[in-house]
Amino acid sequence: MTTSIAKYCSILLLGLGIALGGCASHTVKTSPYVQLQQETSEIPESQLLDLGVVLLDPNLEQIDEDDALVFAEVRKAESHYMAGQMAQAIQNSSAWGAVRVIPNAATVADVIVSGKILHSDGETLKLALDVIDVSGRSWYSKEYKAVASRYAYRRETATRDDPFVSLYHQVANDLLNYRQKLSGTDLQQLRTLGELRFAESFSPEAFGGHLQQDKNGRYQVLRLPAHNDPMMQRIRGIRERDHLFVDTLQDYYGNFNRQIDTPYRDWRKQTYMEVRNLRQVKQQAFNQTIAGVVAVLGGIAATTSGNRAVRNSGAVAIGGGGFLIKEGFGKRAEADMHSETIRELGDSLEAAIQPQVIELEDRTITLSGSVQQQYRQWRDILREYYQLETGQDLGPKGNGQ
Amino acid sequence: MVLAMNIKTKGLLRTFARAALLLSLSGTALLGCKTQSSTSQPSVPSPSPSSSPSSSPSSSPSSSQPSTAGSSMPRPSSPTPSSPTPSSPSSGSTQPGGDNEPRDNSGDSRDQRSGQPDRGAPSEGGRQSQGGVFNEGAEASEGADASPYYDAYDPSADNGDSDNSTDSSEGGPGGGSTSDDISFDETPPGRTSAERQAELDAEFEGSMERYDGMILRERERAQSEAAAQGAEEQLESAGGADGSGGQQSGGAGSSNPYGDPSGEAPEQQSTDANSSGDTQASGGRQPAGGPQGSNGQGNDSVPDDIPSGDDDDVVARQIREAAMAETDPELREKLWEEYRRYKNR
Repeated sequence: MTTSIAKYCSILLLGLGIALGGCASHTVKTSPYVQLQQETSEIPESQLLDLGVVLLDPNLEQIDEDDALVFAEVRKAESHYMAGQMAQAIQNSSAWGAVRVIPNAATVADVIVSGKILHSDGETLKLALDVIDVSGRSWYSKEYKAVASRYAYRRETATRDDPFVSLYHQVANDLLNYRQKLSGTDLQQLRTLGELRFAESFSPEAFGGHLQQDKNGRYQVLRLPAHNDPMMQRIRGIRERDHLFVDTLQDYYGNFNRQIDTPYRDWRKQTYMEVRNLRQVKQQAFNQTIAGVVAVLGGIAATTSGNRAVRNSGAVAIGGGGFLIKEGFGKRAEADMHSETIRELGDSLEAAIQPQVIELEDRTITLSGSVQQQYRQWRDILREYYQLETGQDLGPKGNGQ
Repeated sequence: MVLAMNIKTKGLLRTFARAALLLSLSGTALLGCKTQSSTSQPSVPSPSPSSSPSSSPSSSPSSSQPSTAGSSMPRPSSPTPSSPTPSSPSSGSTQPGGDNEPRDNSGDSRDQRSGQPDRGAPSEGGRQSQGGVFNEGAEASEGADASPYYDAYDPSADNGDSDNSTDSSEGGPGGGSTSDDISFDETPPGRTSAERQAELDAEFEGSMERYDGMILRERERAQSEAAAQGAEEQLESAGGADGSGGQQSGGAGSSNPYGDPSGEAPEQQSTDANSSGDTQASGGRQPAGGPQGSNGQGNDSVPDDIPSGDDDDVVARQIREAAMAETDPELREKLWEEYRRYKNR
């Protein structure tokens, strides 16, 4: 009885080991293409919302130090690159006013899209996005994932689009769908809120009483300025200059993306193959190791059988299992080679784009500093205007913040 | 007896002389004290500055501080024993008439308002404080004519300097008012609200112009770099032009999500954010190198030997548009050379 059980167990384990060792990793992937939806009806100018896409968070803090597939400079470059791709897709939906990439969420825009990069290589892109409007209301938070098609990197079949264009189209479609649920009054209210919040940031003395923020952080309009309010006219002039500043940043970002486009695409193409190979080899290594262990265990169990044939099978199983384990170690070494290749590709790309990243940061910080200094001085001027026009004494000047 | 009388007379005379000396000294001292403590006598009725012929010409409420200071001084006709002599008024410009020398008083005050140095009588110590205020105000007004606030709000100036200059221009009346316990008012004396408004308007417009200049310079710089990059890419793609060259150029050109700034060159001067945003969007959809339709629309940069381009294929049209949009003459000539080479192959 015991011999029968041992015989059956050994045969079962042997068969399992052969099955695992013989299983080929076969994965079927589908890469559906998401078509971009476009607004077909004409939107009144008073309902056109301006949208700002904040530079994506590179998410470097949450990356494991041992993660060899993440490169800080590449992530910083991707934060600009992907924000630009997203802005382009949103703009192409023809449902928004000015769609710009903004350096941070402090820039006043009717709708702000912000997020972080969860994972990015040539094969897979994962983003986590948050959408919030100027009234402080959160539209939605969502994670997006896209897997590039192998044909996206083939010379014969590659298109001009980004390999992850479907993800950007999905983002734009979701924004459009949410926007279409809002009424015209809501859209106009958002435009008004945006203007008043901007005005309040520059002249809280004059416009602080026009808005109210509740405990949830939501803004509401209490009253509107006069049609010919001279202070509002000045604020509008300042806001045009602010738009100029953001448009100048678009030129910076555009030049940067153009400079890194070729090396970045090459990096994506090469890492695509290496990442796929790495994943496949790792899976094979895992399967072979497990199969070898199971076969060895089965063979050991079979050697205790009274049946000579079973004992012989057990010996074969032990030999085969050992071979599989050895192959598994070999696959693991091959996986390390692929990891090393990916690391070298990343280092090479970092070296290629680091000067552009540094230059972009330098120019952006320099321009932002000059602009912020000018804004402080405008705040002081507006404060003087307010004192002069109202006769109120606001006391000593602040720091123009 | 006569001698005794003489002695007595001398004694009396001596006594009278001493008394007179003491009186004059005490009178002088009292006069000086009264002048300095003139502001601390609010109970004394004071004439309004507007009623005084020698009052400050400024109609701004901010000019109240000298008038208030002067208004607290007792009238020379006051029966107060300690009142100053009519010949030595203790206040500044607002001392009303009734003095023995009212014209001198007003003349003094006018001189002080115009910034003339004080008549250096010690009895006018109090007036000096007021006169000093006037002097500082006059200096401030003179400084305002030279627009100290332009320097104060110059983006290239130090904020500390701007604060100091602003404070110094206000320090006169502010300091005087503080010492006279009068509320702070930024508008300097002698300047109306309209004038101050005009100054602020000029300063605001000036700062806008400076900002516009700075931003437009940055934009032109960025767009010229973009145009240079675009031209180089066109050269590279045209040099390797085959079935995949055009695709690569198109890929490299249109992969820029921000559009092609070289196509936005006519929009550089636009300050409308919406139009620039729309141009940015449309630039992304346009082929790299500028507007479509190169049917010889009167571009002076086209060499004479270049045909009309009606039969251009995709690559030739892109090279042509890049050459027509190029501002650098060397690059433009290279692009035309490449165009000729491509057409004649």
